Amino acid sequence: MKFLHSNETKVLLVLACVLGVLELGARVFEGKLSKDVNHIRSFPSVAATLKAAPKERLKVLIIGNSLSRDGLDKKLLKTELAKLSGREVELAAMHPDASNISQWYYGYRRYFDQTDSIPDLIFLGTGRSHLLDAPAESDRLSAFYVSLSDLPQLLKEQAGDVEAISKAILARTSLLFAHRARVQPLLFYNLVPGYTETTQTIAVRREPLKVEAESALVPASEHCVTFEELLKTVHAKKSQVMVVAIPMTEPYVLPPCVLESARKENAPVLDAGAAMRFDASHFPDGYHLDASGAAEFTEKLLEVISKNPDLMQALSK
Amino acid sequence: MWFNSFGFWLFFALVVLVYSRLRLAGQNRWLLAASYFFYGCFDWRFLSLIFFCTALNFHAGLKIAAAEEERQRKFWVGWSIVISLFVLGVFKYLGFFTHELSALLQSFGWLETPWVLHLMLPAGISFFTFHALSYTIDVYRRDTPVSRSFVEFALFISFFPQLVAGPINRSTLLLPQMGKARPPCDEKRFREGLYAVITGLFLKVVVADNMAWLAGHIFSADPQNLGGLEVLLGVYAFAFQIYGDFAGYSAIACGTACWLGFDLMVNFKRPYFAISPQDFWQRWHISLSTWLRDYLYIPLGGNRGGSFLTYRNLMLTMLLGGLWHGAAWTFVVWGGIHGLWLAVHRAIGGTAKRSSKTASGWVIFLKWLVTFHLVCLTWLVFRAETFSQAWALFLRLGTDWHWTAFAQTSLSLIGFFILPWLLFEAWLERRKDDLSLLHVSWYWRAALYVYLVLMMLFFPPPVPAEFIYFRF
Repeated sequence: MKFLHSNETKVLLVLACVLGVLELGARVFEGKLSKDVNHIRSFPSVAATLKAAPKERLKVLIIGNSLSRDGLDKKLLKTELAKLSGREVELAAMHPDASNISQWYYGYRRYFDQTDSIPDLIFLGTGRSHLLDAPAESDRLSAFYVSLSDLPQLLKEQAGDVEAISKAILARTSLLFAHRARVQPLLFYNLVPGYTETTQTIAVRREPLKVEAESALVPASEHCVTFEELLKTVHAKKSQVMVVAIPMTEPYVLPPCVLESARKENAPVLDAGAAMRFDASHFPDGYHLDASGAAEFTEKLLEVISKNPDLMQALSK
Repeated sequence: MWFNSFGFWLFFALVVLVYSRLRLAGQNRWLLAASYFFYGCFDWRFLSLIFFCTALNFHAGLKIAAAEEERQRKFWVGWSIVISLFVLGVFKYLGFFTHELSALLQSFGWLETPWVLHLMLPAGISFFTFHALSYTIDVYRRDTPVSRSFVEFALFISFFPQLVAGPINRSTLLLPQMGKARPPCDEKRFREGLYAVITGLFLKVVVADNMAWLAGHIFSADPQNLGGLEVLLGVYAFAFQIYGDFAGYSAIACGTACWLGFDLMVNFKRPYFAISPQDFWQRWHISLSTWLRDYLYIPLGGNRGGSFLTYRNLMLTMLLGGLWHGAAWTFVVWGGIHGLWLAVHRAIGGTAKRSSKTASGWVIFLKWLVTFHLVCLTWLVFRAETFSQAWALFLRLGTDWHWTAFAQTSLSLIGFFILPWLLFEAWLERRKDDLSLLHVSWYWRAALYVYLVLMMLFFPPPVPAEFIYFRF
C-alpha cells in the first residue's frame, strides 16, 4: 500500500485512467470518427447479408478502395448485371479508403471466406500498384482486417520486425491505438487553414523524389504473391474474379506480374488504365472519377463482361 | 534501434530486468554486452571499430599513468589523439576531402573527373571518439585516475544510452560511476527518469518529427517558388526540429541512464531563451561546447593572450566545432558564423557581467529576439545542401511576403505543436530550475504527462524521421 501512496504512482494511475477512458470512448464512439470506419465495421453485416441472400440470386462483391468506390456506378452495375444474367443481383462492397492487396486479402478471408459468405463474382478494382506486394501497415491490418486465426500468419510475415509486430499486437488489443492516426487528419483538415493544399503540394513534390530515390537504390522488382493467394482463396470456393483496372488521371498498364498471376489463375482482366482515357474534368479531386465518368466506365465493364464466356457462365450458373 | 521505437523499449525492459538482479561486476558486464548489442543493431561490422578505439585508449591511459617522464606521457597522449582522430578522419572526412581535393585539381585541368570515395559512416563515431579522447587527456592532465578495469572503461565508452548521439560525457563524471555501486532506482530516480523520458519522447516524436515535415519542404523546393514568409517559417520549423530531435534524444539518454543509476551530463537548457551567443552556447549541446572549451579553446590560450588571440581562438574552436558536425563546408561556415558572432559580441562588450536585473524587460526581449533570429539564420546555412541554396533562401526572405496556404499551415502547426511547450519552458526559465515540475504538486505533473502522451499518441508525424545527430 505504501507503493500506492507514492506521488509518481498517482501520476501513472491518472495517466492509465485517462487512457482507459479514451479506450472506452474509442470503442463506443468509433463510428463517429469517419465514414470509412463505419464502412469497415459494416463488413460483418455485409457478409451476413450476402450469405443470407437466396441462392438463386447472383451474389456480387466489389473489392477495392476509393478508386472502386467512386469509379464504379453500383446502381447501373446491379441493373445491367441483372439483365445480363437474368437473375436478381445481391451487390456487396468492401472498399475501405487507402487499402490495397494486403487489406483485401486478409479482409476477404476474415469477413467472407471464413464465414462462408461466398459471392459468385468478385470485381477486384485496382490502380496500377495496388495488387503488388508491398510493406503493409501491420497495425491497421491486425486491428481491422485479419482474423484471429490468420494473426499468426500476419506476425510471421513481419519477418522478425519488432516494431511491426509490436504495433500489430497493440492495435489488436487497443482500439485507441488502432484509431490513433485518424485524429490528426480529422482535426487538421477541418481546422488548420491551408492544410489540405499544403499536404497535396508536399505529397506531389515528394512522390517523384521518393520514386527517384527508390529506383536509384533498389532494382525494380514487382511481386504479386498476395494477389495470387487471394485468387487461390477465391477459386477454392468456386467463385469467379475479374480484375478491373480503374481509370486514373494518367494512363497506366497493370504490372506484368499481375497479368501473369491473373492468367495463371484464369481471372479475366479489364486493363482499362491505359485503354480508357478520361478528360481531367472527370477527376474533380485529381484522383477519383466523377459520377458521369463512373457510369461511362461501368458501361465499358459490362460490355467486356458480356463478351467473356467464362464470366457469362459465372453469371448464369 | 531508435529511442522512439518499441524495439528499444523492449530491449531496455530486458536490460533493466536482468540488471536489477546482478551485483556491480555482473551489472557492468551485462551493460557492456547490452551496449555492444545495441551498437551492433545499427551495423554489427563497426563493433570491431568501437572495440579498437576502446582498446587503443585504454592502453594509452595505462601507458600515460605508468610513464615516469613527461616526454613519454606526451607521446602516449599524442598517440591516443592522433590515432583516434585518424580513425575519425578516415571514416568521416576522407571521402569529403578527397572529393574536394580532386575537384580543385580538376579546376586546374590536372584531372578529368573528381574522385568519389564512398565510406560508410559508423553510428556515433564522433561521440565515442570524443569520449575516449576526454579520458586520455584527463589522465594526462591528472584530472582523472587511470582506469585499470577494461570492462569499466569499455562500458564508459560504449554505455548505450549515450553511445550514438551523446551527451559527450567526461571521464571525470562518468568513469567513476562505473567502478562503484550505483544507487537503486528509488522513487526520486524513477520520477526524474520518467520526466526526462516522457519529455524527450515528446520533443522527438511530436515536436521534431512534425517540424521535419515542414522544414523538409522548404529545403527541398526550388527557392524561387517560395515566398519570404514561407522561408522564414520553414527555418523556424527547422530550428525546432533540430532542437526537439537532439534535446529529445539527450533527455531520453539521461532518463534511461538515471533509471539504471547513472547521472549523465545535462545537454540542453532551453537554448531558444538565450539572450546572447555566449548564452546560447551555454544552453545548446552543452557537452560539446564545454568539451571544445576545455580541450581546444583553453589549450589554445583561451582569452589569456589579448584580444586578437582570443578572437582567433574563438574562430578556430567554432570552425572545428562546425566541422565536427559533418564533412561539408556548410557546417564549417556555420561554425565560422557562430565564431564571428561570439567574437563581435565580445568585442562590443557583450560579455561584461551586467546584471540582467538592471536591464529592462524590453531590452531583454529585444536581445532574445535578435539572438533567436540570428541562431535561426545560422540554421539556414547548417541545413542547406549547398551555399547557393542557403544564399537563395536567404535572399527570398526579403521578398514575396504572401499569406500562402503553406505559410498558414506552418504558422498554425508551429503554434499548435511548439507554443504550449515554449510556455512550459518559459515557466521553467522563470523559476531557473530544470526540474521545477518535480517540485510541484503531483497533479500538475499528471496533467502535463497526460498532455504529452496524448500528443504522442494522436499526433505522430506524417513521415517519421531518424535522429539528426545520429549522423554526426
